[in-house]
Amino acid sequence: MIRLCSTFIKTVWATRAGRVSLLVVVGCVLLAVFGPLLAPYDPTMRNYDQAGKLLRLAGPSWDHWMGTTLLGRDIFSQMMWGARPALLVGGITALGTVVIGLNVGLIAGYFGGRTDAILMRITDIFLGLPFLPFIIVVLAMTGRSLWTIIFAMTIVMWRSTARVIRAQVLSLREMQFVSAARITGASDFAILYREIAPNVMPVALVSTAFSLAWAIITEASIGFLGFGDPTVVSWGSILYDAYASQAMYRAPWWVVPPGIAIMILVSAVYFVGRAYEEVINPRLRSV
Amino acid sequence: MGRYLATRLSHVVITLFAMMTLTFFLFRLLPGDPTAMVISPALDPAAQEAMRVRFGLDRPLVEQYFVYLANLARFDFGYSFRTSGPVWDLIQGRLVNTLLLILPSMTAAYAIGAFLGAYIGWHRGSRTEAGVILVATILQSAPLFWLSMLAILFFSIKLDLFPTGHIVSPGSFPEQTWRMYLTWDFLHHLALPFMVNTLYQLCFPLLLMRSTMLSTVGEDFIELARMKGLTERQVLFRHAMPTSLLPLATTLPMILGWAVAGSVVIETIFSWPGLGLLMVEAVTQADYPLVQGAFLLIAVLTVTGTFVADMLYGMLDPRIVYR
Amino acid sequence: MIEVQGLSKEYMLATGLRALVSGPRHRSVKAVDNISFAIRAGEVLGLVGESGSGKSTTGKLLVGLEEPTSGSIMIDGTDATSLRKRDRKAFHRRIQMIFQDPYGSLNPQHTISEIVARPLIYQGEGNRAEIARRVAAALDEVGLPSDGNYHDKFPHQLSGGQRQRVCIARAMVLEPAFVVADEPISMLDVSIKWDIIRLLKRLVRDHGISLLYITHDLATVSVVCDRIAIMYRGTIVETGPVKQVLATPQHGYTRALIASIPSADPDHARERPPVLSRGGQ
Ligand SMILES: Nc1ncnc2c1ncn2[C@@H]1O[C@H](COP(=O)(O)OP(=O)(O)OP(=O)(O)O)[C@@H](O)[C@H]1O
Ligand SMILES: [Mg+2]
Repeated sequence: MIRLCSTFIKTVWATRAGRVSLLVVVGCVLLAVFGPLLAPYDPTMRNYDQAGKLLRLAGPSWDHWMGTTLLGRDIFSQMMWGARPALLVGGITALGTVVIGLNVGLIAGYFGGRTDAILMRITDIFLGLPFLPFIIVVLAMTGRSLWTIIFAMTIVMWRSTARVIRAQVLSLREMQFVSAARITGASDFAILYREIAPNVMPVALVSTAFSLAWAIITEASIGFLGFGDPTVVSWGSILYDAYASQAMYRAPWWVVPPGIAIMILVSAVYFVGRAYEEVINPRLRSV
Repeated sequence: MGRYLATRLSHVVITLFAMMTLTFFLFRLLPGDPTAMVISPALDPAAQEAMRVRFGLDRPLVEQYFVYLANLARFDFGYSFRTSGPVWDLIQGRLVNTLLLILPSMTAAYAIGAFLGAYIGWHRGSRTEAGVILVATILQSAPLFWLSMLAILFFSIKLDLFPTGHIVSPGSFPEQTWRMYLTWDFLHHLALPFMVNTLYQLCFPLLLMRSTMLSTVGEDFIELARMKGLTERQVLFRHAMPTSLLPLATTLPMILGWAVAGSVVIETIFSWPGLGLLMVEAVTQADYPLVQGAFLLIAVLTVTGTFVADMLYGMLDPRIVYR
Repeated sequence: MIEVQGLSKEYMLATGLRALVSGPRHRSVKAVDNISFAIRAGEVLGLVGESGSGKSTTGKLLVGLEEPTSGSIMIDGTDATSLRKRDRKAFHRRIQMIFQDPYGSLNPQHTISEIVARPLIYQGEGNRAEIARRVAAALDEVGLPSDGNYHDKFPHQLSGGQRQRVCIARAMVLEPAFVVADEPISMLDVSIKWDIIRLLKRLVRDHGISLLYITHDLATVSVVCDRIAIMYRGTIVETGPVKQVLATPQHGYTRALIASIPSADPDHARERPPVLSRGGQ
């Protein structure tokens, strides 16, 4: 595990795009951890000017770097708070996705036969679930909290990882080192998790990166559609507020920053994933 | 081949069936009275009772489940709480609107994506390639709704070129009829969501086409075509591109299904009266029969798309044996 | 002592409806067909035959990678098939295999010392220090001493010959009584071939193991083996002491096989590189 992480970082660090992207991701993680401490205002506080008038839709100024919302809230502070749900929801979802997808793929690919058939039918069913509509329905049925969002997203996202991993395992299990392990007395469990699994981890890692990117966008989309956790300020919910207030077209400073933040974070995650993918999959390497 | 088709088809039937079952139980997870799902609390008690009998809600859940399946088989999706009309009538028209937005923009996205992807894959290692990949990745990383907001902000508000939303000018067609699709007004409303969606959906086929091209370029038949004296352009468009199109083409049906599911976002921001917007509205209004109907329809489309994609892949790729 | 009696392996090719349609002839392939032989302790038996004659299948049957269709394998008087069912781990400790492909048989994600340690771990033997000691000893014995910096390398950082040495160390670390070597040198450079052969001979002598040496290569057979069995289409057509079989082949197939490889003649074998004459050094 430690070895995997260190080669991952080394590999990504080797390219310029990878280096920049990795720094961006690390920066966002730091922002998620410390952002709320550094935010100049409470993100839900209404701000007033000297005359005691509510600062509605004030443009960027020295006091409010990114201006204020229709309700006079400081957008810069909201941005500082918004990194946390994005990475929290994205990170846990990506983790859950890879844990489920990895195990389903490993077991289906290795045991084959009936086990494989059943697991793949189940995967097919999840593959048929319409992504956003399903999440919306689950949220409508079980309440809107960060954990429900994570749960709903994980349920619809593990399927692609499982398919990718299974395809890998199908070819790996025919390799001779598997036979070699078997004749030294390794159990199926040992072969699966100690011999085969290390070989699919690079692919699993790439797929985790893509899941993370996808989960961050989805979390924002859910927030924007108004199904996000109402108690949490996220980049998506800032955009939802802007949209729902019908004032967004008068206040570009309200609309632009959250989108840019999402875009930068997600593309950094994509680039990190791809920098690593190009190394483990030589076919993609450009000359 | 016939057997392969039959096997795949049986999988689809299983999947669809599972989907309907899942939907049935998902919607009855609703805390409290499970009948709240089908009977509008707004109805008077006598009517509520009549409904209860009609849907067999006085009977056990298992029996209700079979009633539900039988109803689905007759395209009976129940009745909307809000309009009291049959759900099927409501979602039918919305499906048409969704398809009118999704089909053209996905077609355009695939066409442009394929050409651009082939081009940059052919010129691998060039600055153009790096640039296009960078732009496509950044575009793909932006949330679709945000891109739409920017597009509205710029093209509709600032330049006043397009309307900010809706499918036709409000009030011009009180009822949905096929005649409204034949107006300039409709095309005018379609233009902006079409362009944004095309631009956004372009990234996937583009990147896929590029990576397929990378492996095609090294193949022998490309060298052979070159040796026959064809120009680079001829080799690219007559030999390399058609071969690389295969994997891309097979993804189209699945991506179409997903795009219908993803229409939730673009329809909401553009107030486009399609299935996705309908779902969001119905969820907000707790109109559960309507949500369930829309959800099922979208699910059927997604499953079908995935199935057709798998079939195409199996039929067109010679390396796959039919089993 | 290993005794094989009437061993057969039939592979089913098609199952279900397909098999009914395609007729009995195409339904299965008899990879190994009723063979019998014995290997004494400390003896090397060469198994020679053309491609597809069933040599690898025989090897796999012996180490338990395939289940026999019929026949018995007796290891020191106990039936291997039942032993394997009762105590898989104990069975595998006594019988090991060296594979043909030194690239595919080493897990690319593990270091050399991890690869050699795995059999001991799977067998649940010893503590960390004990395992490390035995791994170092096994690697040392195959010519990869710990001061050579090999132990923390990955397989792809090694040469083909070095990898095959790792494979041998992995097989030997459990101190088996019986080893199957399936074409251990066929994928190696000619220059390293003889080093590996010498290594094998030394291990046989020092540890008194029985070796089933599977090969195409008649030239190495006369150097390595005590006895030889010629395999043809799943059956053993001829068996006997190496010199005798090569000098006076009885079966037509053996004669054809020897004729196709001139250097297999024992008289020519002496003209091998000088290292050979030092044999098991
Ligand atoms: N898993 C399998 N399923 C079906 N047939 C098999 C299988 N393994 C081997 N066979 C068949 O059994 C026969 C013997 O194969 P085997 O691998 O034992 O030959 P071999 O003598 O080792 O050949 P080579 O010298 O090429 O390694 C061949 O006809 C082969 O096609
Ligand atoms: Mg063989």
